[in-house]
Amino acid sequence: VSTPPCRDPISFDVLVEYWLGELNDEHTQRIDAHLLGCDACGAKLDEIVALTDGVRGAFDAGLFGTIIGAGFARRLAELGLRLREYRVQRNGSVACSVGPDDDVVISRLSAPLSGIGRLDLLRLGQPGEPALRAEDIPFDAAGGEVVFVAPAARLRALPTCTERMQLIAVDASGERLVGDYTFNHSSTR
Amino acid sequence: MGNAATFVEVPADDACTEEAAIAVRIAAAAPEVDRGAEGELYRRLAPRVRRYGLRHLRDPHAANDLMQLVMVRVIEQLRDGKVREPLRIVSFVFGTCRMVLLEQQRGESRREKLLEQWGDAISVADISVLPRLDHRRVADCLGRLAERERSVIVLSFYEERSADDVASMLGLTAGNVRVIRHRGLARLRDCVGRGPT
Repeated sequence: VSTPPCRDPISFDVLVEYWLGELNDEHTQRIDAHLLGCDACGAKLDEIVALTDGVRGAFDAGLFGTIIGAGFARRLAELGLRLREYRVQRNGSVACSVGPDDDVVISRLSAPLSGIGRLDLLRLGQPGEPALRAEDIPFDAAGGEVVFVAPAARLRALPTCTERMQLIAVDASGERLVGDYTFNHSSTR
Repeated sequence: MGNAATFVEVPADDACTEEAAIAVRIAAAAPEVDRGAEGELYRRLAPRVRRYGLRHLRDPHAANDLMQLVMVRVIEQLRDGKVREPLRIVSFVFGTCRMVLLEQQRGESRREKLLEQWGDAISVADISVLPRLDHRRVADCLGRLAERERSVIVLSFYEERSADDVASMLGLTAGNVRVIRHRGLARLRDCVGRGPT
């Protein structure tokens, strides 16, 4: 059965704002009412719901890594997830692993970040792997650390090995190494 | 409580004549029961009520409960002639959604009694299933985004957080988060929609 087109469609961005609770009560109720009469806009909301479920499912399965910041790390702990956290000092190293019961593996890279405009995170690859560079990562300069979730699924597949990461400040004059971090990973396979 | 016909203003453009015609059939059939019309009304409106529940309850099971309760109550009141204007069925459903949501939030739900009484007459099996995405595909597409886009999207959607909340967690401004979210979502939707490459 085809969905009739909407005569006054709500934009995808506004539906995202509606879904994330960013609209005031009056606007929210107008959209509530519209969606109860409109399958075309409802299908767009279904897509947002599916993306939400997909992002959550992929994150919970440890299928990708990302910068999260200290606030979200605290929130994950409040949600009852089992966190394994490693704090690595600037130019320091840490012995690390991932257990079968760990939900999320969080790394905290300490660094002096004040005054930095753009910060890149470089992961030096295993032999045969290319280095990966995440450009212009979000960071909290006042907190003095970069907090990220590593993809647990990848970590579980790693043999015992050493991985290095670097924080690099970038500005008009060029690049500067901010910190170098070594992870001595023990396989639990 | 729960028996009063409730209308909430819905813009004229949102009035859906096909649903209204079906509601009129159900009301006109009383005291007989037009199961075909009831099933059709359920099939059309239940997914919309479920969306309302998902938005306001943030839980698929609670949203399904709300969907069933609202639809049972709407059909019950149509059968009983308690809907004054069946032509405005969508606004009646909206009012019922709000009432049932409030009752659920206060723990006053008549769920068991209603579903015992009407559950057999209403089939939930034939309504559309919410679309689902393959998590590996989503992860692959997230991996193709810029780091800021990935961070903002994960923090926004993992717990349905506003731009203000995400901004404070990442040390960005709310306006910046909205711009990054817009750009990242466009790329994510495009990638997910294209399928594996």
